[in-house]
Amino acid sequence: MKRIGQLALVSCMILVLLAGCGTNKGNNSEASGSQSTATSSVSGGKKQSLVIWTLQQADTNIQEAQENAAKSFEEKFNTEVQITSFPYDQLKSKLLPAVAGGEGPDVLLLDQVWIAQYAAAKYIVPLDDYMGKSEVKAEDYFAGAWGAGSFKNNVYAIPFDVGVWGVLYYNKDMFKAAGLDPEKPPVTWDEFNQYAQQLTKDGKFGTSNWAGSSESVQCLVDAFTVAGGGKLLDESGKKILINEDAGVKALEFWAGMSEFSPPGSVGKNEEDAMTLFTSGQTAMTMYGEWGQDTIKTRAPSMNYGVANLPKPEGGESIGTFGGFNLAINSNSSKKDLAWEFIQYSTNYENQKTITMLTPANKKAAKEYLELTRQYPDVIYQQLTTATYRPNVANYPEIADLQLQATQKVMTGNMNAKDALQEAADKINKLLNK
Amino acid sequence: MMIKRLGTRIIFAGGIGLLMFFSLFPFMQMLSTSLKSADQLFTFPPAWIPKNITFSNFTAAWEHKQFIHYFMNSLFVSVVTCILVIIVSVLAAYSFTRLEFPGRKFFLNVILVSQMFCMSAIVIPLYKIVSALGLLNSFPGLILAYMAFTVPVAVWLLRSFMINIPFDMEESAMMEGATKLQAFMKVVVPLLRPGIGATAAYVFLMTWQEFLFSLVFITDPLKRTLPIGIMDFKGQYETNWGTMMAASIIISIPVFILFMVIQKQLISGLTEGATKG
Amino acid sequence: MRTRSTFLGYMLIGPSILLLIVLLFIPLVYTVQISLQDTDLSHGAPKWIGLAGYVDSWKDGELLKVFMHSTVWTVCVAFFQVVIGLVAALLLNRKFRFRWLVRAMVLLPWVLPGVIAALTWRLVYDSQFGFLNSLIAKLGFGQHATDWLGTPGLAMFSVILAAIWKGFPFAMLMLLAALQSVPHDQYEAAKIDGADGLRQFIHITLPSISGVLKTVIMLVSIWTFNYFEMIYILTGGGPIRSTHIAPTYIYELSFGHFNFGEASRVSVFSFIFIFLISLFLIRQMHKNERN
Repeated sequence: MKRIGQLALVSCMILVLLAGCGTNKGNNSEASGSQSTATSSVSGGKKQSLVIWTLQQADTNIQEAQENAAKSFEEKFNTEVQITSFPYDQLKSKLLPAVAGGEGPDVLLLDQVWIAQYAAAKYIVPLDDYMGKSEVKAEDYFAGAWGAGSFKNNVYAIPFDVGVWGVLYYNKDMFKAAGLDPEKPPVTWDEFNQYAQQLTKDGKFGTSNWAGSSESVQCLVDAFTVAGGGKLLDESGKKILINEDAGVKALEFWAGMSEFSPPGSVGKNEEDAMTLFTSGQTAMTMYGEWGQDTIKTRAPSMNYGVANLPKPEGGESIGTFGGFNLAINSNSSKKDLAWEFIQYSTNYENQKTITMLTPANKKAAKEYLELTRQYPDVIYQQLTTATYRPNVANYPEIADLQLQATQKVMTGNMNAKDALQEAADKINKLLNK
Repeated sequence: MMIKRLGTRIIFAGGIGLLMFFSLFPFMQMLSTSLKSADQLFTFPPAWIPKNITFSNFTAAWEHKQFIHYFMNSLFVSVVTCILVIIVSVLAAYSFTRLEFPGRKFFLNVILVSQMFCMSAIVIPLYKIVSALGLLNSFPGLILAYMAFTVPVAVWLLRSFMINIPFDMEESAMMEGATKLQAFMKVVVPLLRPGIGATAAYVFLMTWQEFLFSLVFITDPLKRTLPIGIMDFKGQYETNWGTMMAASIIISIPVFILFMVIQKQLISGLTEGATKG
Repeated sequence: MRTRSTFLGYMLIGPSILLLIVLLFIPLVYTVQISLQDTDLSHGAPKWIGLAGYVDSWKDGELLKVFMHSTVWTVCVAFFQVVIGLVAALLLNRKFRFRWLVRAMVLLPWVLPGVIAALTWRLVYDSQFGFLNSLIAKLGFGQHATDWLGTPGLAMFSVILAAIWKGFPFAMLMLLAALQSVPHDQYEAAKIDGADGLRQFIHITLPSISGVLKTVIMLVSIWTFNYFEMIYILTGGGPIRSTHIAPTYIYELSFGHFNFGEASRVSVFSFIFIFLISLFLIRQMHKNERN
């Protein structure tokens, strides 16, 4: 007993002792932190140096193009550009402590779904004033990508590149073997299911769904909801509408694919589904347009086709936007230069070569797709109509509730209507907090 | 008697076999994956032994950007952290086991409580402190952060080893005219060798494989450590499994050899000490 | 007996204590300070709410579930790490050919960087391409496609198995070192008395290694509670949040939702939780010592 008292006392004392000095130190640290960045930019010579964190490029051509673009920017503005690249997961985990700690790069490359959060937390600055004085116009970019970059009627991030969840990939040889016409991919949900059934035989499967810990599944279910004439949020942005008819049908369609999928798809993610496709286990898969690169390395000899996502009866083929936008760190002491850089990276000329996904600039995108992708028209069409995910500050929480509903349906715990009703009740509470 | 012997031997061999299988099972898939070319990576049913063995993943991993650089960085950070932690902790453990001073128990409890911190819970405030110290993006900053997380355990472990070393040996040494320091160096340190070895192994491996702090505190590509560097092979949607697994094997080998070489000292060293005592 | 020496005593513990205060306890104070604020992004700027947040955290039942998962996870992983570690140490303490090689091989799981270990297990657990389902088929149990990471309930088992694998070599190494200190003559004496293996173990081995064993149990429990990477990479807390434990929840709240206040509150709760577990373990140890 004595020991317990003593240990408890110890921890209390430490807390009390440090409470005073800790808070002081905290304030000091912030002050000195911002000071050190200010001095470093001055002492770093006459040239200002602009720090950018971006995504790592697998393709060396893109990397080279980015380096060249940075070089000519340096010459044009008599400045120094420091680009550091990270893989996606690392960029995500690294940006937050840095920006929240009062540091971080001047220009941030943000996934569309992070923008509302960064804006709400005031880690990035509104760009409306800068835009007013420049050539940047919303209509040059894909509408979905532009919409994802705004938050509460302000523009916070300019689209850099875009992708769409997704397009339909199908294995032509497997189509032939199943007696299907390889030039006629399924157009409607019913056709898709019927084809999938026909393709499921001899240990191979028609398609593969997934519900692992990834947002991509929500991109697709959202897309199907909108495709069926439904909406995700109402006009006020305070009410979720996924529990309405279109949403229920969308989830039923997605979960129903389990019938034609290899067993054990709940624990899978989009990468696993693509692996099943490239290894010839499944005949069709839904994936982003950049999946063509994956097929090129994993199954170079595959005879495949790309089609629009299947659409519900009486609906449209609609995908969901993904991609990245550029924003300015509110801690940055070189915001004007940062804006110049954003403008420079999103102009038509540069967009053609430096983006990782498809350029966000529509004109550049068209040329890019013609040059680098098979079925460019299918992709371009899917991009122009694509919707975007709700850009509210607590989107990650909403996406997780949606994901749970999907997992509940796919593990057979609940039917789609009840699961979505339960999710919608919780989400509405979140939206009206 | 003979039959019983045989029975125990079989049970023993079975136990070793099971243990080996459990430890190495995931490595089988790792090795198998590393030896497959991209188009052979995933076949159904999975091929345990690749059809066409290729070493291209190993060459690709070795030639990847600054792989050797990452390796040296990790080695440097781990070794320096190890040495510093051992020095600091042996001193503290000595103080806690051999000296009496006001607040001894209090500080011992501070050490105990310090073991309970969760890295992901304090990484953001810790970032602010490292930034305030001006040590962001530098090895000293990373080493300090690692020390904070390993010193409590190291002190605790060394203390439990040191308690077992009888006091009277030092006392008799001091009676013969040795100073406290001499008695410590000549009597305690040799006997503590296995304890130091085990603790050093712990500290080394903790820092060798740490991910989150290294990611958050280091930005410069030339200063990244191995666990970060190896994750270069994992993109947002696509993982370069073959190369990643090959790289994992490459980085495991030196540590494996190191352990093979020092395990005698690490484990058997204690027997010598014990028998001498 | 201990020598009384205040100055030297403080000098020697000084570096350690200073390090811990600056790098652990100041962040802790910061965490406590943030935990008294409402930092939900949809509420606008952070507001001071005092202790009210600590009550609200429990309202939707999410935190309770997380702590229940944490308990199951910690108890299972720590228990089996120590048991397997002990068995392994006993086996590897006997002399046999190539012992040095086996000892080094068994340490391999511990050597592998945590993120890589977790990714490898993701491959192993894959329903189609994983070696685990393939092994089951090869052993003659038929071609199953068990969804190790996608079935609620089973997913917890899978992450626990992987975590045991990753950590048991530490327990083994420590206990193996401890076994060396068991005096040989005691075994000889016991043999003459006709004591069998189990008795020797209970009466001679266990008491001699009990000190190290207790330390190992406590360390392994604390580490397991705080162990983050394995679950984060294998399941991300899913499916249907059935594997969310405190550290993954804290990470989700801070890095996922930017809700540092709530993340700090959960951190404080976890800290108290581990603190109580350690207290319990320490008390148990002292009780045993007295007996």
